[in-house]
Amino acid sequence: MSEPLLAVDSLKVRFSSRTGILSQLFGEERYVRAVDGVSFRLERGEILGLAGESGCGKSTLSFTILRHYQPCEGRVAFDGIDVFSLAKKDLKAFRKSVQLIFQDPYQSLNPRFTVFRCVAEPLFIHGIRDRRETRDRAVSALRSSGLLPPEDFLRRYPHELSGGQRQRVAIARAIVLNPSLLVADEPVSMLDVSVRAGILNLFREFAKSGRVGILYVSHDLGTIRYICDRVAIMYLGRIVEIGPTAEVMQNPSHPYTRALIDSVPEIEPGVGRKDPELLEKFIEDTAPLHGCRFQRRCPLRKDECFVHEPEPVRIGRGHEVACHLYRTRSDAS
Amino acid sequence: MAVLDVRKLSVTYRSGDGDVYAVDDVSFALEKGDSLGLVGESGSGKTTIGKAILRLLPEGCVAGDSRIFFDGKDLLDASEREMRAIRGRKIGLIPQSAMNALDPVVRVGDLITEAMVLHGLTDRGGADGKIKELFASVGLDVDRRMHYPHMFSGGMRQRAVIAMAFALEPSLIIADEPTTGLDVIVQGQILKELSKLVARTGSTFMIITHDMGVVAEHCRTVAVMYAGRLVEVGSARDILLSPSHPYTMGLRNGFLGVSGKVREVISIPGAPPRLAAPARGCSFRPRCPFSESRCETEKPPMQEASCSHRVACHFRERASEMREQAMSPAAWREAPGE
Repeated sequence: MSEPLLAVDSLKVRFSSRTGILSQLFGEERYVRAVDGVSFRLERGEILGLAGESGCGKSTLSFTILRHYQPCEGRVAFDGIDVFSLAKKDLKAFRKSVQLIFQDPYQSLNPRFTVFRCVAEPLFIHGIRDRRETRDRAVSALRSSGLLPPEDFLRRYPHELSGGQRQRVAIARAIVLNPSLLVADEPVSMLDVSVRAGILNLFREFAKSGRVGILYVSHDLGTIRYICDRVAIMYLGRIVEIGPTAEVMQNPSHPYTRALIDSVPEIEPGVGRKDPELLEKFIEDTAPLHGCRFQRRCPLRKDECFVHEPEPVRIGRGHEVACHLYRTRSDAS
Repeated sequence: MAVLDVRKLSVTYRSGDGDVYAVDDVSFALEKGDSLGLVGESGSGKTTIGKAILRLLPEGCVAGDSRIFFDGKDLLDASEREMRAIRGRKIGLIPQSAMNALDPVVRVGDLITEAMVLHGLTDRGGADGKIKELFASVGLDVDRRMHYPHMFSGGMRQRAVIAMAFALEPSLIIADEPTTGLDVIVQGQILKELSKLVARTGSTFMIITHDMGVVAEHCRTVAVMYAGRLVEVGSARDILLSPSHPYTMGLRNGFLGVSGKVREVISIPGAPPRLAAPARGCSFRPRCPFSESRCETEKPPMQEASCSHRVACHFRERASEMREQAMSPAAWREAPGE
């Protein structure tokens, strides 16, 4: 078939960590390697979960895909076209087809806009001003986002809505331009459990339509397991494991993935979370200069892990792990 | 005798836009060594209860017939001077946001020392050894006591605040969302440290959270709140395995774990009521798939479902039948609405 919807190749993003004026003038250039060589594909009709602890680079990665940060290396191709070499006129089309949903619906909606204005604003920006058309499209986006009946919401203001309803307005705003890629950064973590399910089911419906691919960024493996087709686990700027969600959850292969899954609480009394196996549990980890970046906390580390950074190895259908415990067949022979 | 005995607690916030009935007639008791999980969604009144116990609410909010007995003494009758001797020393608080609980210009160790000296537990010289011990028990490097809060990560700050709460050896610890916003691995570790400390010091523990998973692991007793009212209280087993209030059943449906079969997740239709007036009947009625006409007019009293289990629902005899139906998404689709 044709190009994947989104192809990220060896992407690296770094931030300068020099702060004081003296070190800026005389100091050595130092960097935080927020994203450090990430590659993956995302197709239409698919939901890819991006999981990891805070500071692992998952938000930096998703914002770089949206061109908010400039990578220092690597490539992001959207429908086969490099997003960082887009001509100015193509940029607008790109921004139309890629939409972002934020974590906090209390901050992402303008309190002085009515729901109609919130949802129709992207249409105005993209030159769609016909009154009939904007209204029809806003109504249909609200309906698809589960705000029923949509006409009742048009004139209301965000402060009149509950958290769940606000997030639905933010979703309506994101889908009103019929994008082909949705990036959702922790879209349900601020919402109460009783309304969370509705939002998650909405994402599933969107993906099922086959028109849109969704990058779902979250540290919550429970919601990832529920809606994502595939999941990528990040640790300190790298994807350490990626694969079909069910496969990764049942057969977590990277020691970090295992620790992460063992840490998730369960509600069946007695099932409880297991005690994840980690060394030096309490350290704030930073990427080492040599070897595997999980070396300091890994319970299964060996000498090799301090020397070489492990490359991703395929261990099952679509299931890749970057860990020295695994070898490709050719290496083993 | 119960360490904490809350009777008929009602709290009304007065504001320019009208009153907010935040807590409505809540009663529960905690025995020594008990661990209680107070669960509910945002706005259900759980934090207000914590604040009421520590008498941190504005004057005139707590209704006149409310009683909060702590070690047999009614805290609502205590003078401000008496309360100052109780806060921190007898009842410790682990607040929701650890960043705001620490003073940005005071070394963490000094802050803890100050509290210990003020309450006369030790002098400045003796405090250091105690702090070292506490830091070690929550998994913090002992040299960290000389550091300022900004040098700590979120998880470390939370540990420091826990160490601070235990420094005064309170007999009751109230933890308000102690791990919300932290990563799962850190969350698991911190809760474990916390549980260990509670067990070792023999203190009574009350955790306020919206996370059923946290409660399942760390609490013996669970109290579920909805719209300012207590709707169900029981042992963790009772609440998680045989919930008897439709709201608890709905909460349980929304939980997503990583083991077992992937279930359909069902949301509760509608939204919690605004608490602008005390509800006449059952406050969950507009969202409840099992409600009948009497739910609109009669407030369901708290009644025993078993010896360790109380529930405020008119149809508690039908609980097992409702539990069966609550597993199906279809049941929740047709809520009566306002």
